[in-house]
Amino acid sequence: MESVYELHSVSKFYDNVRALDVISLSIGTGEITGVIGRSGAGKTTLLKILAGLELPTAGKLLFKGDEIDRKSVRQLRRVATILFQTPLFLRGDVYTNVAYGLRIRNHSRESIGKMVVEALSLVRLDGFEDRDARRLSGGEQQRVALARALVLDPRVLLLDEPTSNLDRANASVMTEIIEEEGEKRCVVIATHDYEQIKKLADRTIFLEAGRIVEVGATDSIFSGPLLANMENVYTGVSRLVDGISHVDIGNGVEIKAAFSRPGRVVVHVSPEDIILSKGWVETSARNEFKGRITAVEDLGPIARLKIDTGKSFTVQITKRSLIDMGLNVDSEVYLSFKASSVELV
Amino acid sequence: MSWQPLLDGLREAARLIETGDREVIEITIRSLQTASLGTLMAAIVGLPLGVLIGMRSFRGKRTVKIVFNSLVGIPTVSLGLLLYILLSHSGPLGFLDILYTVPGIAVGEAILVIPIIVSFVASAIESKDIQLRDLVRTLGASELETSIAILREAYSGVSLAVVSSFNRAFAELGIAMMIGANIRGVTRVLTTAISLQSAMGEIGLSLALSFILIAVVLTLNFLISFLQRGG
Repeated sequence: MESVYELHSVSKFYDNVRALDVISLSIGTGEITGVIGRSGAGKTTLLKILAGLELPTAGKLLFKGDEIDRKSVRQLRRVATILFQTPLFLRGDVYTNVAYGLRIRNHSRESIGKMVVEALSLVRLDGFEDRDARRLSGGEQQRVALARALVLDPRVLLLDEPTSNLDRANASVMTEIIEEEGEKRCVVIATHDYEQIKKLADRTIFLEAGRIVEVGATDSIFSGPLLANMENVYTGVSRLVDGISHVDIGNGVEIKAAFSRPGRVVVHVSPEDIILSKGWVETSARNEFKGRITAVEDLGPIARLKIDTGKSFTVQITKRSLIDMGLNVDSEVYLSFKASSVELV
Repeated sequence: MSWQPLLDGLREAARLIETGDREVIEITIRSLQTASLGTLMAAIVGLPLGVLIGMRSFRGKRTVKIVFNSLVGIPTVSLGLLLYILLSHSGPLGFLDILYTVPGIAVGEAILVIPIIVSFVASAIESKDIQLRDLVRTLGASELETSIAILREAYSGVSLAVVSSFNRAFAELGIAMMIGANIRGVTRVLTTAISLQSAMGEIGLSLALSFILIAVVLTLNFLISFLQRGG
């Protein structure tokens, strides 16, 4: 397999904060590479380096065998395009936005017109040329952003949480298009949506605190190291109540999840998605449990708590909240999370 | 207390405009010339400087911005005096030979409004998301193309900078007086004429000229705003 990128001991610091820590890997063409890891793991930083928007603080980045430095980074930007989590737009209509990259590449007016129409059709937004880009729905905006990237026919398409802000219908359209595009170019997709990674990615990179925990074929990542490293993963039996899954994970703990799959399932709740309170609070969150703190891990500005509710949950809160709420080992707390925060692994 | 002088002034202004008084037209045009030329020069220097300060991060950036922000309010008469000393025949810049000329006034006004352009443009650019910069870069833009795209996005702030600069240059007195010296037919502009007429007790005429000055500023600003909405 031909490798597009090679990273040799790449590190990236922002001021004195280490975002990436000695990353070495190679990424090939004609395949979809998934990047997973919790927020702050370095996914976006890695994508920005691959896009040529940031240069490594240390280490070497090779693109098609050539080292990327301050001078050659523009060449990389010309052939690698990143799609940001929240799409941004230039002033003006959809056409202006999709045409921007073509214009600065000096394409003729006629060919730009043709290419924009084709790109919009590719993302199933035919006839959207004259719409104000900033007034479209979230799903439409993300698809326009995708069209704006694809119209340049980039060798590398980098996607940062492309579907995390989208509803299911829009997300599945995006996933479909990404799958098609993966055959034509090198695609790297960072996400916390495990289902999407399992569906799309041939290879997966698992990042944690700026380091690679594991890299390999997606199936092998999901069967082994990922689950072992992931917190709040529970296996249980799901039964459907009013269309949503109630998953009995043992010891009398039942998690309500916003999907409908009966039978044996493995579910995951992100430690960042769990809210702590000192008493019962009435919220829209479908899951609420009472528990006791068994451990507090200090991670600088944030803290990770282990809470025993019959099952152990890991919860991430800011240090400030920890202090303000006067929490410590043995404190009694209530934790809650939305049914939609529960992911199927 | 009497409203009479104001009413007389208005009536006189109307008469001057109606009859197309040659001298009034001439000094109004000269005011427009100095202010436009000054704003143009200030924009040529100030726009790139504002973009640079807005887009780059460097040591002492805060200090640089504070200095430019403060210079926005510099008294015109002090700047005028300073420039007079520099430009006078025995002064260090005397060889330029632009004292008592229209270009001389324009240069002075340009220096006066450069801080306005730099400050406003830098803030307008900073108000734009840093991600917007990454967006145009990832679409393949060079540094210059990135700056142009960001300037275009910061359009309202940039046009405010230019319009405010013109307004300040058009309405200032100190520099036109110090560098131009209010020479009739050569460097007399609206503000210096107003100053002279009031000093001579010609309240009616100086009020009339004031109304004309305000009318010109209002008309221009409405015109610009109208064009912006159309564009």
